[in-house]
Amino acid sequence: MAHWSSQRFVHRLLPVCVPWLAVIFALTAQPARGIPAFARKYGTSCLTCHTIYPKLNPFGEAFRRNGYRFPGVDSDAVKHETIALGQDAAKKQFPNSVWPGAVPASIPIALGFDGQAVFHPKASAGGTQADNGAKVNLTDLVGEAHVWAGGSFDDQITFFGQVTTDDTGTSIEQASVHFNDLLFGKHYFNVAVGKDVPTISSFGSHSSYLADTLLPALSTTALYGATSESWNVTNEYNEIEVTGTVGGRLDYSVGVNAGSNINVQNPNDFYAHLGYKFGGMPLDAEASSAPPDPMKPWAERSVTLDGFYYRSISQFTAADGSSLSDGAKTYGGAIRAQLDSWELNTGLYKEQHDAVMVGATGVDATAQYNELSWVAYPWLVPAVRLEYLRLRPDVGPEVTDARWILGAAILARPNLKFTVTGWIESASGAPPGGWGPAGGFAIPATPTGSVGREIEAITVGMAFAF
Amino acid sequence: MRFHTTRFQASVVQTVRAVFVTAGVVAGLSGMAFAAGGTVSGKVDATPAKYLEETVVYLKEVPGKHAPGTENMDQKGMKFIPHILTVTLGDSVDFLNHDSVAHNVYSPDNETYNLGSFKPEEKRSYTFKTAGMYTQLCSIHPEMLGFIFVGQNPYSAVVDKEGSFTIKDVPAGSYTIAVWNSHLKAADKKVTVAEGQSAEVSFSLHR
Repeated sequence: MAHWSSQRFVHRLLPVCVPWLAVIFALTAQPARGIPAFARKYGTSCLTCHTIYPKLNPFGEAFRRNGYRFPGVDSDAVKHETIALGQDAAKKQFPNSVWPGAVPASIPIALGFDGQAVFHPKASAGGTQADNGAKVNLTDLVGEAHVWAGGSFDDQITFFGQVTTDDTGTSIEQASVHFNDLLFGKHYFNVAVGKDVPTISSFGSHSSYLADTLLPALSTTALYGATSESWNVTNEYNEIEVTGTVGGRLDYSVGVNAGSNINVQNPNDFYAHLGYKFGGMPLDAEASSAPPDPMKPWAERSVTLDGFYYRSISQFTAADGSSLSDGAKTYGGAIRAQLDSWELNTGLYKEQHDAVMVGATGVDATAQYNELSWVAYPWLVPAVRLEYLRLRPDVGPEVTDARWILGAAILARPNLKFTVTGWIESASGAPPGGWGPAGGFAIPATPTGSVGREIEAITVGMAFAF
Repeated sequence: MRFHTTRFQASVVQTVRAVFVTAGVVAGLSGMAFAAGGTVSGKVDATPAKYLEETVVYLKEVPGKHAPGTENMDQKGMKFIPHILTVTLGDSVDFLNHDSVAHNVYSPDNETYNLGSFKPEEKRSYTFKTAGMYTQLCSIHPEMLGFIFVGQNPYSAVVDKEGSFTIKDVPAGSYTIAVWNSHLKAADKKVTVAEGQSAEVSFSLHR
């Protein structure tokens, strides 16, 4: 699955291109956390953990939270051949022996490709202008390639990685080692080290059928003209994170990461999250939990409440080329309510920045999102998503942007996916950097002008993995 | 000409008969507790099934004496062969090396032992003084794994691929029958064995 965020393209393309060219790509499929390597490891279908990937069903979310392990004893469920790097009995000889582990007999990697065709029905729409006025854009019919790796060193330590490559280059998106069950019992206290998206939700960061990430990404400094990478809550950073699930109902995370800086800085970014789930499968899928209807393993009745706080300090290059340091306090909350095959995600977060532009101008940025989906069939999920962004700078007008994304995700095979989406947007004003860095297309005629609802694009995406 | 049994001949016959009877008694006494008797057989299942083959079924306490013997465990193809060996307390095991590389044998279990390293075609021996399960490891090749089950008595069996087992020549009586598995467990059971009869016992192994 593609990990396309408009922000990633922005920081690569900005030196030569209009930022919102990359916006088009924000519509595509999302990176996967469940990967064919896990299917091979456990000898199980993608559908054990996913509805339409990368969206995870309750069991798949628990697998992810458990540090990419099955409930119970993980190795009990492993079917692929492993090569012992030492036997369990050698533990009795420690420290006169190396603590044993195992490697899979075959390399635990998976490959994937994704892309989309984009259609612009309205010639004057911002999305059409972003594609040079073209009505049809096939440039990224296959836009990205991914290599994923996932597996375990033993029943307690696991790993996950993703490398993505496209026309702009290759990047390590995720590479983390998870040390699980360190204290107090199973799932209570786990440490993850590496590069990953900070855990600020009870659900995977890409837990959306229609968008790249569940939370819309603001990239506030880029919205105000920054020319270097912009910090946002959905980006991956090098981090150390403590997570845990308590009693199968409460999950938490606390972490520190290197953040987004043009020069090396002390790690100043901290975050914390708490979530609680009522009903449905426990967050760790332990205690022989099973879906009420085995024919619909995704279906349950539950409500999950989430809240997070994120403190960041980012050094970036402003529009005039100067170096600025922006401190942001971000806090938010979300609710996921599931009624059998219906699922509603609604959430809001607020970023309080103190210096996004020259002159140390701050801004309060708010992002609100709602996504309603329905698993009509195991292979077909229609959904509708609404995003609302608002920027209130210390200096300058308040500006807003709203988008409606309607579409459906379709599985032709468990590892072959299509998405069809329609993108409607309206805006009241625009920040100096345009709405592109936040995934928008609308281009008001003036910074305080407005754009009525317009169809920006219709996309047909394809993704496959093996 | 007729031959008549003389008094001397009669005494010789009586003496020989007595010797044979005595020998028979002695032989019977020495092997009495472990002489032919009944059979205990049955089936083991395991959840998850992938651990089934590392299972030994055994009788816990059977009275009698056992003449020590010697069994072999080979190292070939970088494996312990057999993977699981059952012996009786007091038995010795000769560890052979039919690989082209040197091996080591050690066990961290019970009385623990380390037999050092030995070259191809060499062997090492160990006599077991404590009953229990002994994991066999090679310090030079940490992936190698074997097991030696040392029973209080010779009445034990490794299950086959389907989980079936047969323990033969069990003296008549009532016993506790138990099961060992590398990852799973099941509660002990009681079994009564009658002379010439077969008793059935089954186990279900779980975490």
